[in-house]
Amino acid sequence: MRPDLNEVLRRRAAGTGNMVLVLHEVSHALDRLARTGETHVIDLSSLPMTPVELQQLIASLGEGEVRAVIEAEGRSEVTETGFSGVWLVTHRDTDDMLRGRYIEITPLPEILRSQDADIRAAAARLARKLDQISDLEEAS
Amino acid sequence: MIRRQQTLGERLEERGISRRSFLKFCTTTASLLALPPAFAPRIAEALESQRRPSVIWLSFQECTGCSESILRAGSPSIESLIFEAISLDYHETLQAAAGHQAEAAREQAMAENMGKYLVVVDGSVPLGNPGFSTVAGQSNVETLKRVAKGAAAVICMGTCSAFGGIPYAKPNPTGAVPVSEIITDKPIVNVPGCPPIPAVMTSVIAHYITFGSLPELDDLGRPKVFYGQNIHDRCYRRPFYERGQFAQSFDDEGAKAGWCLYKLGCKGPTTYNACAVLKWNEGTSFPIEAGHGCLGCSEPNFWDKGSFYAPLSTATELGSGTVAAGVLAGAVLGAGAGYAGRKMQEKGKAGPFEAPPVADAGQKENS
Repeated sequence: MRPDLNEVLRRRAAGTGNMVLVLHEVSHALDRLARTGETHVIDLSSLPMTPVELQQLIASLGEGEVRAVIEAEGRSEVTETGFSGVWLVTHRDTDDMLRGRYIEITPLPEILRSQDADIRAAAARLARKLDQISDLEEAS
Repeated sequence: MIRRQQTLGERLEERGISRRSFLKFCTTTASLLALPPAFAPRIAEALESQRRPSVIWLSFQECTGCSESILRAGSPSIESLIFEAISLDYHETLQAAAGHQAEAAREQAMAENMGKYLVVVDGSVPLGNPGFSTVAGQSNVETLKRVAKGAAAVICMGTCSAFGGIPYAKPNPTGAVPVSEIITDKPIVNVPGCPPIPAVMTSVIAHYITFGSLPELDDLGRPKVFYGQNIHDRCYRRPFYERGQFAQSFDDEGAKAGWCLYKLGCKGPTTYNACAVLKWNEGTSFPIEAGHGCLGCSEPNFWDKGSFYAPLSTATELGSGTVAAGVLAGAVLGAGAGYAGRKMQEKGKAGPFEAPPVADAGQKENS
């Protein structure tokens, strides 16, 4: 049977070919991370890729052991892929609109770490809280 | 409008916005600016440490659509956070002050930040009767000259201030001109679009804050990051164009199958903007995705370039019947259309404000 030409064209139009290129970049970066400890970030929004290709890319990387949700001015998701050291990081704003999608090749994505400035502020806050508790105890 | 003494870092801390949120903001800002993700810490450092630059926003012959666009965002968002990074000292529509107090706020901001403030302009400037557009008894051209004198740079938000836009369209009853025809001794960034994409507007400001300089511009003064590629090259319908598959009407089978809208007048091949990548309405879609051709609103004279529904190949000097018909025939359509598009673009670049609209050329021939 003669193939539906339009269907063929639509299928071809569905692909940019960038998915495999990204996987190669991940592979090279992971190799560098293993050998030298150098980290790398790939900004997926800067590459033209169809939704289908993006799904394929994410499926190819698979799921690993860690899945974290961060609520910081909107939801962010950090997922370790099936390849240790390769993380998928997605940032959304308070309206749940997608603001960025990244593949990070690192032992731990920076966004997961408690930040120094926040730690300093937290120490001060906790100290104040303890003062308040002590004051309340003294008053009672 | 907002206290100016604090740095952004201090303000965020005061408002209880975590460093992690800020890091996230800087990462996504780097994406918007098409910078490598490794630039995020540099953006963070710059935004955190600098005093917020004063911004004076002047509205001339405009519809306020550009302000509407830049504010059309959830809160807090990248856009609104950017506004935390600047001190918007004068904006007629947004400021709380009115009358003499408003004008006094502008004068104060200018005096305190002489040589360092940014001027944002939306709307074209009428050179005809000054009464066409005045604010506080001062004509637009007087205000522009006076305010731009002490500015570090002028950012033209929207096609009206960048290229004259709709007020400039024939017969241009107010004698409207773009800002660049009046201010010639200051750096000018054109951010055209009717309106421009919100993220493009804020990113230009973010770039200035981060690097202390304006982004790299094309020959029409537009940031290359956003206006370096045309809509056509990034259009998801491009493969249909390559194969000569065109919708012939808005309701035929081709249109329903999502074929290229070139023959229905799409100006994507000659329009340089980021709509196909950044999209509109919170990233939902852009005009071509909604089934209508690009109007070319970020290009000079887009209103006078013939019908929005005539193919580009008929809207150039090649447009006389036989040549266009020959070019449009058969399998060479794609290449021919591209050529016509490039010719049109070259013509536009050679004399952006003089490119004769086709409709006029036709009228002249007939008369």
